[in-house]
Amino acid sequence: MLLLQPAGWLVLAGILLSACNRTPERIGLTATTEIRFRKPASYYPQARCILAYYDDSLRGQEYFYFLDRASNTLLHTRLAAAPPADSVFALQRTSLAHLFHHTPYPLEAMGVFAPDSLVFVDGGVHSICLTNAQGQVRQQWQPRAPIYGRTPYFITTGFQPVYTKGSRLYLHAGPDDVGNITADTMAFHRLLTYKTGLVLDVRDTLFANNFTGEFPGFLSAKNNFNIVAPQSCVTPEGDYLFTYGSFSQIYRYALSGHKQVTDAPSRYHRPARGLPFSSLKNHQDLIGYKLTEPEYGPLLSDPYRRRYLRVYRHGLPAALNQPVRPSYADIPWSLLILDAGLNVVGEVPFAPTYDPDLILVTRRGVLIGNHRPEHAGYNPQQLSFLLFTYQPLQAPSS
Amino acid sequence: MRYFFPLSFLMCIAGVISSSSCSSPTGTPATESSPVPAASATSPMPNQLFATYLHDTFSHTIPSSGEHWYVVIPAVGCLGCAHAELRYLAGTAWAPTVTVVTSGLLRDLSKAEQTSLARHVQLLADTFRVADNTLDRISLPFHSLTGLVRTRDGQAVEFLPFDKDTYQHVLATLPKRRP
Repeated sequence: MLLLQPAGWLVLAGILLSACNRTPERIGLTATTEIRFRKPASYYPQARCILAYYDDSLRGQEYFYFLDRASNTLLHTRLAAAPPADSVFALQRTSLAHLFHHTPYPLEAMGVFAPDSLVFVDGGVHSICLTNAQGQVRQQWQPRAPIYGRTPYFITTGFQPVYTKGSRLYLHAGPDDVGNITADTMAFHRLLTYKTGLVLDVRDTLFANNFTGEFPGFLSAKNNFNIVAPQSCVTPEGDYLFTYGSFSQIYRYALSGHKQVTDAPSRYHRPARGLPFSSLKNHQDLIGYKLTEPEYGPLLSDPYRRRYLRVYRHGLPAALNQPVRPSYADIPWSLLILDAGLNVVGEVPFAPTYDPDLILVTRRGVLIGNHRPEHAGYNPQQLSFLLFTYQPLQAPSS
Repeated sequence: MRYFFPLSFLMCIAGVISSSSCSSPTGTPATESSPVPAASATSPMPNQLFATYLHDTFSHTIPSSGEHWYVVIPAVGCLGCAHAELRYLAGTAWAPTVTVVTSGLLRDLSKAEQTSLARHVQLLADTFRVADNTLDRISLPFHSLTGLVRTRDGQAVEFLPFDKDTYQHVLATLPKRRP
């Protein structure tokens, strides 16, 4: 009845207008508790692709996995609700030495369908193993079939975690026939044009042919490419999100084929300088570039809070011309908080003592590694995380 | 393949290069040789840097008489290439005047390869791998971060870089153990 009255329309218009004009809520992070795991002194997880978290919401249990590639061992634990007396969780060890003994490549990455269905990918990017919780092989694939038409591709993780959703594996593809990219500019630019995204369904034995969707190749506009494989994560709906080192845009690819680009820049964003092709072969140049140039890093989905997290590395003001180069662990960084629509709703700067590659989204909140081997306070016997929760920020008073 | 963190960049470079272009080294002859650069006002010369590194990390002193060769292979850069270089070194018995200086990369080799390498050449390996060690960060004049350091009478006198295309040619010039 209200809508039949002019005043009712005015009320409705006012509601819609205020909804459209509403500034997104600003979100910060609050540190809460520290969670520590007991680990071998020689181990530190230096990449996201060897971390995994699984939330068994039915049983209310949480599982943490850390892959030690040097010893082909899986370190894992089921987190109890209450920490042990000394507040340090023990990690169990499962040997994986038998998984890829036929290849010269070490384990590269892992994923978790369920605690009794773990996925491992070898560094030669030619084999995928599905094991049970004890590391016994349940199924192994060596997908060699050409994908994306006639081009021979291999499968890789791009050093991203192996994302799983339903029966799908989210991976990357790399061209097998690209040639020597550091000696041949044509080969290099051909590499940049290849499609890299790959979604496989493990219900099919020969699932290499069962990809869905095509995703962009490396970006190279004005050579600000950071020849890094895209950072990626998967939305709760199963869409694949990609970002590229120098670029603030996030690319969303639905399995239906729908594509969307959203700009989500850091407030510290500055364009990266170009990298000449000649520097590709000069690793001194590459390291200097990596140390000094800003870069968007890991992209993570927080399905519990319907948010996304995105790392931005600020770069060091000067890195070269020193007898011993600074470490990557000296680079300051910040964590962008994005809402479900990929709008930036917060950004929290972190000191370099926090590890931007040691972030796990859990039911409890966001775990961020807070002691790195390169910095004082690191305990070689422990892997330490600080648990952060989201906190609405107060608007600044005018 | 190396996994340091942030590692994303170099790791991916390593991934791309090692998987796409390192499998069949061409053996192109080395043409580059870097004489010891002049010292700058702010940084020590590479020869001083290298000698200090050997002393601080391994308590090793460059032999004070005669010629000695150090093969430097850190765990950054093209890691597929570095694996191939270490395996190449493991296949030949080198003279006692050759020392391989490497880092955590050694642990990527099989036990048999590690044993063979240790049997065939003097080895200085800093295998602490949870973080970049000094060898991975030291600024020696090697564009691919790998190379030979030739020393004479306790001093580094020449730095010879090599990469995936040139390592076989460069390393073949090293003195071999007499049967």
